[in-house]
Amino acid sequence: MKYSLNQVKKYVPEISSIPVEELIARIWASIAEVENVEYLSKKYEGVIVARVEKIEKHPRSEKLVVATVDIGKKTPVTVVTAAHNLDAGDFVPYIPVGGRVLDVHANTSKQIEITVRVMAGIDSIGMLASEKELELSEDHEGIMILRQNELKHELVAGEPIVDALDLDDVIFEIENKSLTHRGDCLSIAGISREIATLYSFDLVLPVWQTPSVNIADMVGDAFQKEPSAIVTVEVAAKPAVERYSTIVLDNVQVTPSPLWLRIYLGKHGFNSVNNIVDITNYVMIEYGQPMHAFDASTVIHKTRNEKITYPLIVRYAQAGETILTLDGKEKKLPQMATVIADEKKALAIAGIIGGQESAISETSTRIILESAVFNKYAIRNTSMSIGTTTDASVIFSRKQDPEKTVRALLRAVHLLTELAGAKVVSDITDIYSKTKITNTLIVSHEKVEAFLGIAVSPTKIVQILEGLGCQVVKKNNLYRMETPTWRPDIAIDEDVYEEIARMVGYGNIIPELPKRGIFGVSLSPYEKGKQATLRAFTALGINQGMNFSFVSKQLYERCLLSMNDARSVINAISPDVQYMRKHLIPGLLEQFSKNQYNSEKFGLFELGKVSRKGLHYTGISVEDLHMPESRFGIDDLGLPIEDEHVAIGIIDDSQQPGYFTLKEVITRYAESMHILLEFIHPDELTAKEVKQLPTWATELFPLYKKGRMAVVRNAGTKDFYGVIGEPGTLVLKEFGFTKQVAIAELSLYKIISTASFEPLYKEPPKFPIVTEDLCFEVPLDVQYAAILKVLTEVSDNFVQDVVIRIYPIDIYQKKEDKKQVTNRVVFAPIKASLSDSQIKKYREQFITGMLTLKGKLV
Amino acid sequence: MTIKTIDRSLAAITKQVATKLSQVKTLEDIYAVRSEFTGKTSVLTQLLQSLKDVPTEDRPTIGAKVNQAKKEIESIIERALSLMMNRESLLKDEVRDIDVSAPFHTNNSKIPDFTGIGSMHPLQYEINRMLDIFTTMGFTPFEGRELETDYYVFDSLNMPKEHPARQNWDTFRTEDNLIPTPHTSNMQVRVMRHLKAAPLRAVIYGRCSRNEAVDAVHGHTFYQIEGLYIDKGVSISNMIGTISAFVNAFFDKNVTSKIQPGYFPFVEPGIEYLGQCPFCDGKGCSSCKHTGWLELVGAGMIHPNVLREGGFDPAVYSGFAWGLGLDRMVMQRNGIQDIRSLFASDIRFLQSSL
Repeated sequence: MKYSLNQVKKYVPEISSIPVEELIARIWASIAEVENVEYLSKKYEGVIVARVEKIEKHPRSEKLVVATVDIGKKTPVTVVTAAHNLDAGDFVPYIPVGGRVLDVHANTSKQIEITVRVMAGIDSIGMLASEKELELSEDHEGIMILRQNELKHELVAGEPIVDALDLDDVIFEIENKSLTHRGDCLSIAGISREIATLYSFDLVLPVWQTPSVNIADMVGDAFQKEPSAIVTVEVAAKPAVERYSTIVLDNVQVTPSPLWLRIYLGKHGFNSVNNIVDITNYVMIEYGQPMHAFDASTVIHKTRNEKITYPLIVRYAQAGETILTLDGKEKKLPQMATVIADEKKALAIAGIIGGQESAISETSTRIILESAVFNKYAIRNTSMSIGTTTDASVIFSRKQDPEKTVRALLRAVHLLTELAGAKVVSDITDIYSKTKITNTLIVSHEKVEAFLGIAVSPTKIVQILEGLGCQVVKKNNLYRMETPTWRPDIAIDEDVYEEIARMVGYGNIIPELPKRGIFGVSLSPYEKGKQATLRAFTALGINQGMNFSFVSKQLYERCLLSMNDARSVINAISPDVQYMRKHLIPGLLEQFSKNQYNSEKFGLFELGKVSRKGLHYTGISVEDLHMPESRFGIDDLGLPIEDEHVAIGIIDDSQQPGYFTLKEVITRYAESMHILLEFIHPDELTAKEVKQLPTWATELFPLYKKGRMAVVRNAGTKDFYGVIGEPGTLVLKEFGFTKQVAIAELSLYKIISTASFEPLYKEPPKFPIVTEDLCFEVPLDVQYAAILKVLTEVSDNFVQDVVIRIYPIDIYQKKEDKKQVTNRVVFAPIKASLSDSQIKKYREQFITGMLTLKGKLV
Repeated sequence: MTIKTIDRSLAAITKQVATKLSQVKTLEDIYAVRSEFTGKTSVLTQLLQSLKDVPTEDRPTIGAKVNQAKKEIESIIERALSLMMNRESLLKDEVRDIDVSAPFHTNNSKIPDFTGIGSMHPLQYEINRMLDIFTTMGFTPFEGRELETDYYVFDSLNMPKEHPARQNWDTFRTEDNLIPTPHTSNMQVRVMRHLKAAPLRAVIYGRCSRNEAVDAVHGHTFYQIEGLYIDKGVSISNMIGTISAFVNAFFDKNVTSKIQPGYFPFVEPGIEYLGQCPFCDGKGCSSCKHTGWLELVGAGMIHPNVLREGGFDPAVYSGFAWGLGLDRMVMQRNGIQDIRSLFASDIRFLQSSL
């Protein structure tokens, strides 16, 4: 909402003594963020009021006239203009040479500078402006004429226009969103109360805002002692209506509003419509009470004994009901919508927007004026459902004080009698089932200070609370208060602390760290495992990528993976976010394909959560379910398990099958976690082992080339970790891969829970090491793992004397049915240096062992 | 030849093709079928050639029919070919042409290595930095859940069913009525119930999502981190002091700050902590939209209803929570313009800091 500082000054006169910048900073710090500040006096600097002395025809042009205008100096100036609406004696806005004005032909906010212009032979000095050129309205029909009777000001030639038009003002704007819980601040009166409290200044309320005001106070004798009209109101939609007040006015003349009112509205961001609508908006801006005027002639009524009855019904919309509203749109009404209706039709959508048919037009003479408070939830829900937000709906959806309606009504009536010649012809009909809307709270001084963390004087506390409208009684160290009707948000002690804290100013609360003992905190073992994983992969030259937790069905299809058990998102805005991911691989694979030419080779890994339908806490063995945050889960039966996985992939253009390149990366990662892995083709698992594989893992099988994939597990315990392989030909084709690709997905939780991060240091043997390369020729179908197993078992026999390390050097195939596998064997003797004969003995045992695989030493 | 007989023989030929295709075993077989039925000496070609025997007025009709049949047959064969190719590639995929237990391929012991240093994701780097600061300050870290119930996302945070603020979090919802959490505060009550005792100091971080369309500056997925402090006699002054200590550590300098009221249903009162833009020292730059100030942290004193849900008696304990979004920090720190680059894994982007 936009607020005029001049209007605030009417409520808080003393605020004039505060520099504007300081005031804005205080509002920002204690009320809400000020989104924008506009200094109107700067905008209209230099523009003055001029008086037309003489109008003459231009000697050389029929289109132009020559005006002689008094600008308050010794000699008048000559201005040539194309406008023909000027008469001698008119007051007009004058922009001197050097001033700037909106370029009305540019359709933007572009400005042009005023110069001396020769127009058909006559020098035109300065310029007379239209309303549009001054950005006061869209009116560009002729020069703006300033009429004394439209202004509450005596015009003098030469005075700054800001004085004449009340433009010596500052407009500050607070986003409505910042006032979600502060419906009372959506008015000049409301914000003024806050500002007065901030500075301990007096709040000066106009008489009509006092509770005891009545019709006679406001309009004198402009009302009938014997009312000739009455509005009956039947409230059928009870929960939606907190108060409904209404009155009938006759003899109304619908005209354009006077300039002062148009300027007032313009400052607050409203367009002028006509005097009736403008007055309702005026009251809303000033007092935060939205109002609506119906043309009474369009409302079904009955006449009996010369008394007209207008029966209004406030009810829920009927099934299929529609209404043509003021914005020119035919709206289908949801049944929760509340409407103001006569006996046949809906006249308006309550609290949101009026209907076209009952709207005020130039010919309206009799109006029904409504001032009501509707329930905030009812208005919000309807407003969202029909997609219409208006100033009224914004105000109502932020909870309004029902005590206001009649006062606002009287204020509007007063203005209508003054500006539209209206006569009151009915009593006020007021439907109000008054309930207690204030709260009684008792807080202690000690608690206030403890909560804020600073000392605050009791006088200050009382001043703040009373300033905000509370009735406060201080007794001993307790403040007992009755909250004001417009502050339902002050409901608990903490709300009171907040009021005091923000009015004192958070900037005045001296920061102090909490007092606490010395203690140590470290990451949980799981977090440590995650950090170790990050370190390992980055050290291996792999880059961490991230994908969304959402996937599309299409992505899974492209990977040949099933969507079974994928949890769908029911309000997805795009197909890309339609499901929660079950695996990390699909997203990572797609990123590889999009990136494959950005580097000749690279690796990506991702850590992330996955979930699936049907996998949730059952109250049993949470540990077995790969649950990283099992520490939270036990009491949450039915909550889905979020397993954390790590997916790793590589892409390169070498001859080495991608499988092996990736296998090396994963093997080294696992080593860094003190885990020895084994890679085993699924065909070699027993039926029981296959059955024990988690669903997510077997689900991934169709993605892979069946001949180039393996299950990854712990070489010792056989704990299952995940799946590795190269994508199948169809998948490669689908993604357009032209390089070696391999990708794996592992359960991070399983890895971390079987890993060890404690380094176990061992002293190396002191005797010289001996290295032997042993090459065995074996039948083609003998797997490397089998050879390694034999060699390891053999070396285990010598473990007392020598530590043996075995690693592969080469696998060579020349013959069709045989291959030669070379391993390097490193002997590190423990007790004494090794002799040739000992090495020979060991070698022979290896040879004997290899016989079981039909291997022979080459 | 008449129109009737041509229809019949074309139908017969099409059927023959289908029969033959149903018996093929290899790509070669299909190629054979193709040359038999569409090649130069095929029945179809012969039929086309025999058009000259047809009465002139029937020629266009019959010619069109034969051509159409030819097209159909060709497309059936194409389809069979592509199916067979897929089947063959699947068969080829089935061949176990590598020893998965071996360290490298036969006759090729050279494993390409990724000699460069790998990189941590910029968001991860920021998370780690935050965790360092928080753990140093004595806060125990907890990673948040992503899929959450209404209770922890809203109810436990003082936002019961009809609370309008629920709409401020434009949440996704799954078919089984779970919410991909829109904030890390879903963990507040979980952590309180888990740690039970005061003084409670915890830091929660994690992935959040909101139902928003994605563009250069908006994403539906983002990271948040928040601190939680509960003890006897915790005050607003303590809250401001702690946040200042954190912010100064995070930006590695004394950040000039100011505080304004803010509204979050799960705190009372709520504040927004603004820092003088650390990127331009308050002079105004694109990071702070030329205001000189950055909204760094949203915070507040934990609402008594939330404390109560977490098992802490608000008459005895008070506390504060503060949180911030990481994505914007990462973008500001690195001058990243498009938020989508965080989730694209462009290798040039990921390696650009190395």
